Amino acid sequence: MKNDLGKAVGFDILRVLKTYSFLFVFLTVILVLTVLSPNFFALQNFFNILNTMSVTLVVAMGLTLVMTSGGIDLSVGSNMSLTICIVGTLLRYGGVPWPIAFLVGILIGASAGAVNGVLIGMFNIPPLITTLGMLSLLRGLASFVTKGTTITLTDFRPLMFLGSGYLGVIPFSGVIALIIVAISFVILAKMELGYYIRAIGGNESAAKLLGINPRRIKMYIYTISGLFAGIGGLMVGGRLGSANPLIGDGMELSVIAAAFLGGNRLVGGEGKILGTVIGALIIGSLYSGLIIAGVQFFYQLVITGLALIFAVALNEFVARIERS
Amino acid sequence: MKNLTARVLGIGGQNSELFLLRLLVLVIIVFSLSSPYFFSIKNLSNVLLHMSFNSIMAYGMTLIIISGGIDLSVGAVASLVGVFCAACLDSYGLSIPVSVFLSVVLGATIGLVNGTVISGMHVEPFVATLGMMSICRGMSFLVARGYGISITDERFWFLGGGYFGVVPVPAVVAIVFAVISYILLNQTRPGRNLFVIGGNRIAALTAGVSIAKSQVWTYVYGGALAGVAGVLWASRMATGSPTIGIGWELEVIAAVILGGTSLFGGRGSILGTFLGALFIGTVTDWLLLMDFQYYVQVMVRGFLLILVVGVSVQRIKIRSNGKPTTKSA
Repeated sequence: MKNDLGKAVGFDILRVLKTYSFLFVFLTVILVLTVLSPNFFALQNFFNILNTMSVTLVVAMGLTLVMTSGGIDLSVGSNMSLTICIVGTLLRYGGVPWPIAFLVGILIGASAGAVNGVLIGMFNIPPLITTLGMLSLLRGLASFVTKGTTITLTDFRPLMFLGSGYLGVIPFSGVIALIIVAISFVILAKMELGYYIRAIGGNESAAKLLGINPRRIKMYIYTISGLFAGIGGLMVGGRLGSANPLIGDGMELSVIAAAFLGGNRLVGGEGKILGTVIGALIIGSLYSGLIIAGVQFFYQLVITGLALIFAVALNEFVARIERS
Repeated sequence: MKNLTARVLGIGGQNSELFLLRLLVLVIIVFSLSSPYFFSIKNLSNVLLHMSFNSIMAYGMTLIIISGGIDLSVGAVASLVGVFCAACLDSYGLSIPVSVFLSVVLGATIGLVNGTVISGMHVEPFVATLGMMSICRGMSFLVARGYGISITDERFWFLGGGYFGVVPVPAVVAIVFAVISYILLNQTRPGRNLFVIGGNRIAALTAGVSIAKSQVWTYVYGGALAGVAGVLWASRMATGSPTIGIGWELEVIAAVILGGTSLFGGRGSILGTFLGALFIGTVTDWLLLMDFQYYVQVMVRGFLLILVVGVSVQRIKIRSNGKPTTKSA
C-alpha cells in the first residue's frame, strides 16, 4: 500500500489507474447517484448500504481467497441455505441453545467447504464442476432438512440481532462483515498461508517445487470459504427472520461480480481484499441508489451488468497500455 | 497397482465417449429393471423432449469451451429471445417465420457483443458473459414489462410442443443442430482450428490462425443456438417469460463437461456433449418417473456430476501414468 501511494505521489497516472480503477468506477457511481437523488449521499444511507451488503461482503471474502488460488466457489449460496436451515431446525424443533446451534451451523458450513477442498485438492476435479455439483447437493440437503418448508425464526433474539440488530447507529451485521474483511486481509497479506495461496494461484508447479503442498492449501481455502458462507447463512437467517431452502439462490453470482468489480481475476495469483470490498459497495450503492432514484429493478440488472463489464474492461485496457 | 485398478474398473485406455456410452447403457439397463414404464416409447420420447432444449445450447457451448472460453449468458439470452419472439408475434403481429428469424438473429447479435467484448476488449469470458447475463435478464424483464407475454397463435405452438410421429419437434431440431455443429467443428478448417486455439494459443498464433475472429464466431454461434432454445421454449410454454432460463447455463456446462470436453479448452466433441446431455436427461427422467422428491433429484444430479467428472479425471491420470495432465484451476 505504502509503495503504491509513493508512486501515486509521483503522478504515475497509469499505475494509479491500474491499481484503483475499480475505485474510479465506485466514485463515478456515487457521483451519478448523488446527482440523481440528493438523499443518496447521507450517513444513514451509507449504513443502509453496509447493512444490505454485509452478507455479500462476508461471503465474497471467502471467494476472494479462493479466486486468488486460481479456483472458484459456486456452492456458497446453497451452503448458506443449508447452514441456516439446519440452525433453524435445531433452534425451532431441537430446543438447542443458540450458542451451540450457531457453532453447529458454522461447522456445517466449514465442513461443506472442506468437502469441496478434498474433491478439488485430492481428486483434482476442476473447481467449477466440484462446486457446481455441491451447489445442487447442498441445496437438496437444505430442502431435505426443512422438508421444503419455511421455518419462522423471528422469536430467536440472538439470531435476529445477528442479522438486523444495531449497535447505536451502526448495523451489527456490518460490524461482523468488517471483522471478516479484516481477518481475510490479515490472512492474505500478513500470513504465510496468504503467501502460499498466492503462490499456487500464480504457478502451481513452481509452488510445488518450492515445497508448498497445494492439496493442503486448497483444503484450507475452500474450508474458509465454506466457513464464511456458513456465517453469511446465519446473517441472512437473522435478516429474514426465517429459514428456507431457497435462501442464497443466485448468491454466487453477485459475490463473483463483487470480486471481479474489485479487480480480482479468475487466473489467480493476486488477491485484492479491499478491491472486493469496493466491488461489493459498488453493487450495494447501485441497488440502493437506483431504488432511491426510483428506477425499476430491471434497469438495475442492466446497469450492474454494464458496470461489471466496463470495470473489468477498463482494468484490462490500462494493464495492456502499461505493458506496451 | 494403478494399472490393476484401471483394468478391474475397466476405465483405462478408452476414449471418454466410449466410457460415457458404457455408463449410459448400464444406467438404462438398471432403470429399465427398476421401472416397467422406463423403457417405453412414450417415456423415451419424453427423455428426448426434455434434453433437447439444454442440448441445443450445449452444442454451441461445446465449441466455445473447446476454444478456451465459456458462456454464462445462455439462460438469460434464451429468456430474452423468448420474450422478444413473443413480443414480435403478439404485440407487433409479425408472421411466424419473420419472428423466429429475428429472434435467432437477436441471439446471434448478443453472441457477437459477447465475442467482441471478450476478444476485442480482452475481458475474461467468465466476467463478460456474467455481465451479459445480468444485462439480458434485465432487458428480458424490460421487454416483458415484468410479466410474461402469452402467445395466442396456435400454429406457433407446434415448434416446441408438436410431434413427428412419436418424435418431439424440439428433439428433431436438436439433432439437426448436433449434425451442423459436428460438421462445423470437425469438417471445416475454422472448426478444427478451435482445438488449436483452446489447446495451445501460441501454436495457434504461430500457425497464423486468427484467434480473435474464431472466438467471436463461437460466441455468435452459441448465442444463436441459445436463441433457438429460447424460441422453442417460448413455443412450448406458449409464453415469453422473463423468469425462465435461470441456472440453465450451469446445466448446459455440466452436460458439456460430462461429455468429456475439457474446461481448459483444446479437447472435446459434439458426440460427447450429446451423450452428456442424454445422460443427464435419462437420470432426471428416471428420478421423476420413480416419483422421488425434488430434493433427491437435485442431490443425485449434483452427486453424479462430481462422480462422473471425478472418475474421468482419474482415468486421464491413469492413462498418463499418474502424471497430472490437467491444471486444477
